Amino acid sequence: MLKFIVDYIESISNEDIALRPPGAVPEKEFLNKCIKCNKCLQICPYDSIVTAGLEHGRSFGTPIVKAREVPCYLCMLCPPVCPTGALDNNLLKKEEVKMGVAVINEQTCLPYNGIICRACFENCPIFRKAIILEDEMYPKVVEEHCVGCGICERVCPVESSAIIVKSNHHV
Amino acid sequence: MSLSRRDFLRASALAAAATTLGIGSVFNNKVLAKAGIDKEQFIQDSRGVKWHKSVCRLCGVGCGVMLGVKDGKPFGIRGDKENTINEGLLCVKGFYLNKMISAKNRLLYPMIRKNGKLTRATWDEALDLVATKFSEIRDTHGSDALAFYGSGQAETEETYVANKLFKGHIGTNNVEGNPRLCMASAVGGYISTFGADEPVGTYDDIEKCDMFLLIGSNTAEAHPVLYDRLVKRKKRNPNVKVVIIDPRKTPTNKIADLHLQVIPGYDLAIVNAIAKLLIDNGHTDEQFIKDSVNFSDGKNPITYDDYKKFLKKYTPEYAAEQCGVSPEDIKKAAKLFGEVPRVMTMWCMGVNQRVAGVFLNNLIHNLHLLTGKIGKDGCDSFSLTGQPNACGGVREGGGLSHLLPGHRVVANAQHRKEIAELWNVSPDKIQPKPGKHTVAMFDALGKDIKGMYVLCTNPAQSLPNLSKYLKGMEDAFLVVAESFHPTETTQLADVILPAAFWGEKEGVYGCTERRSQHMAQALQPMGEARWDGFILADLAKRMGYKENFEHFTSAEAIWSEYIKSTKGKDMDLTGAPYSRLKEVRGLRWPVPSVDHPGTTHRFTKGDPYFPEDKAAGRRMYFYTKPDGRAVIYARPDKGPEEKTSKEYPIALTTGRILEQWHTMTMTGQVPELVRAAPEPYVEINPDDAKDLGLSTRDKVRMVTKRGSLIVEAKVIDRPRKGTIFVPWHWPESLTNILTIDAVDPGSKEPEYKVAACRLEKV
Amino acid sequence: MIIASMIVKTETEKVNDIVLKLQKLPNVTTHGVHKENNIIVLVEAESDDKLKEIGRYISSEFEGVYGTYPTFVSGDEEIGLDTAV
Repeated sequence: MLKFIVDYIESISNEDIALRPPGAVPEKEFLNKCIKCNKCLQICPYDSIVTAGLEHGRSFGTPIVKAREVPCYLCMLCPPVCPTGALDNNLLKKEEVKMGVAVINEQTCLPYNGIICRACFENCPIFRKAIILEDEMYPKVVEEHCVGCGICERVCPVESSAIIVKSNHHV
Repeated sequence: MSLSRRDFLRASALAAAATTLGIGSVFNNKVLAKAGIDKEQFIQDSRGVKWHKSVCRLCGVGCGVMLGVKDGKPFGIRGDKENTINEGLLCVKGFYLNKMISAKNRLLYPMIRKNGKLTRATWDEALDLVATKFSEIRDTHGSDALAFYGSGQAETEETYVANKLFKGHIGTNNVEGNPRLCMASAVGGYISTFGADEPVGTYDDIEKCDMFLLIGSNTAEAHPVLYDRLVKRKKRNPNVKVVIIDPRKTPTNKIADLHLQVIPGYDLAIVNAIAKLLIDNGHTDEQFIKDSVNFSDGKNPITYDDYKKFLKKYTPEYAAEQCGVSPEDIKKAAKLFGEVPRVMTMWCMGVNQRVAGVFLNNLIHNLHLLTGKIGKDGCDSFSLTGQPNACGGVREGGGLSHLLPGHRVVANAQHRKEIAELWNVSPDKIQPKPGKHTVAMFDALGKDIKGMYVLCTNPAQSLPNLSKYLKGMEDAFLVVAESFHPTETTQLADVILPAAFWGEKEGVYGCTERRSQHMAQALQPMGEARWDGFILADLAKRMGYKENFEHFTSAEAIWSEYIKSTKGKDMDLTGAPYSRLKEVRGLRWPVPSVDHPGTTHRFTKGDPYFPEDKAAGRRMYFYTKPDGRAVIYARPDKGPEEKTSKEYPIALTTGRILEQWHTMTMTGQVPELVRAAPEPYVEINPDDAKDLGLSTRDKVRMVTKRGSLIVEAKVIDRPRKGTIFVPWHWPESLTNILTIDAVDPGSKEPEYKVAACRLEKV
Repeated sequence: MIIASMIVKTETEKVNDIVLKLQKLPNVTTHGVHKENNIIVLVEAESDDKLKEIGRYISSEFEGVYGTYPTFVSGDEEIGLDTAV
């Protein structure tokens, strides 16, 4: 009963958590290791990685991914170039990335409101695994397979995306 | 301050509850007064939305939508729960229709090309220029130097006025429309097999069907709401089978029990093989064949035995080899088709956009005629339509170069006479010879054809082998009536006329299942835009045909004249005047009188034109054929026009995706939809990608004999090895410069679905 | 402060009794009976926990209630700031 209120309140408090590039070590360690050298940002062919602004406080100057603008396309070029191991240099397989987990807001997600849409399902790079369509209609995230790249968040045709990647590093 | 905010929240909370319950004012005046909000104002704000009944502007399914209008502006879209087609369900494109109305690049005033540049003009300037130019061309070069190119998205009324003006008054049969590019082969198939266009059954059959055979149709993306009905049918009845014949593993495959993944262009052999197996396995309905079927080799009548002889060649092994599938799968498909009591075959562009399009349509009908699985609940040979009014406006309204309104043809003297009478012109004004078909028309543009009027379509992106036809459009005097600018075509035009968009005009759309539905005008046209029907009638007046067009003062006036042409025809719409259409969720013809409920199955009991006497106990009588019998055709298999070769080893096939539609003039205006499918891409099979060293998001060049194009690769196990799939939506990446403009000899529909190409890593 | 509206669906015969009972609850106001058996209720609660509690209370303790269906919820942020100070 009234479960959605809890969801609602959570959704407010979790706003604006940025994602880290693929292979990022746990947040505390990351902040200690990252020397803000921008190497990952420079090698990214899609300009997915940007520098965190002042609004991110302690993270200012570190690399983040704003999935709604440009998600990570999992080309796996950045982890090996990190000079300090803030990104796991040995991470090469896109399936092993864990930037976060996509969460669907069923209140706004179109199919849950009777509008057929397959955007997140069709564009998911871990195709047919990380996002499945229940009854050929309702998208569901399979947490185990979701790598948190944010492509779904990027393509969602709801005004403020109905699928958002929750960063692994927040908790 | 904080107090008023709280009260505002209280009021909003109540409004939400009221909206949920679907009731009017429940507001406690005290709550509102305390918040300093005028009650009336508040009701206006929260619930002051008026909803108008309409039909979706996009694909051919014909979903009912309600357009909400507030303060004269589009407010929102919701599915029409009372419409039995979609019962309130919509796809993401339809959901954003309201944003297309108020798109940034709506064309708001007429423009004329002056010194090479399109500049703003008044309506009088623009229409006088068009009338003068057209009259001049007609007088110097003859009426066949003019042409009209319309659309399966135009309302029936709009196509009717254009037809009347060009065929009946200017006197040219150069009247075509984009349904030539998508539905012409289906029309050819229905007419040759049954004697009349459009399916026997309706969508109602879906809920009673035991097996769906889908050929060349990605229903899940191209007709999402219908797909949902298939999914529901299968979910509730797990015994329902779905068999797919398609070169791609499309999203529709999710519900498939069996997929025959054919080499593009060779599937005729499979359908013939299924026919052979149906006979061999004893799955035919011999009584039905005896009662209601003739056989033909395409030129002369043949016997059932001749037909069986013809089929000898089509063993499952032969077909399997032709198409690159396993013979066992063909046997399985044929066995299912024969054994289950009720089968619906549905097909789309994969069948129609082929040089053997009409043949393949005939072959599909054969299966249903052999087994008698037609004209009864849950059975049909059912063609899916791509545009919302290709059936209603162009096929029924006669908007092609060989047609006249009400399923008539220009070659028939009696038909010309009837229509000339309705149009109040002399019968010899309508030429007996069909005009040029679409590809021939654009070929002649800038040469024999000097002036063209394009309505509601974008040929400079949608024609096949595009590069060849752009110059003609540049050279000729090109008039384009459009709601959006720029499009690829408006950029080439000499005059562009701002047309009222969906929601800003009244009219009728006729969808796939013979259903005509009324759309209310909910809004005033933006800027100086005017309704296409009025623009054409105005042009007619300026060209000196005032008398026969001045009574067209409303959409209803045009519809009323049009439905007179259907009286007594197989597609009788006389029982569907505006007064009735406004109240109901469409009517399925034949509907000969205002108390007739419409028809679910044609040519059988329940069809008002079914002649019980002539049928004499036979279940079906195809009264549109001279002896009441449909025809099973012995059509040989035929490959694609352009076969793959050493130089061009890959088969290229094109199509649609869910979030975009056609040339994106509409869906490209909605940021949310663009976001969902942002960039052009090509689907490449992982094996082919490996050979070329390609991975997803690499740039790849596709080369055909006609042109080349660079897009992003999407490596995915969807197309068959040796096949690529390219959506054709993005104007910045014109897929159609690659496609071939070879046409079906009967339907003149181009083969968009198969071209030979080669890939190069960039 | 949380402001929420909900629809309380009841057995048709008991709807008036339930309205009376609801009116006795603190921070709850009713806004009419609609379509036979739907009561529109406005709840103002100090916190989301309290809101949940009220919802639970109505659906479990009142005889004849089929269910409560929330339709709107919003926090009164400005009040929140005041109390924080």
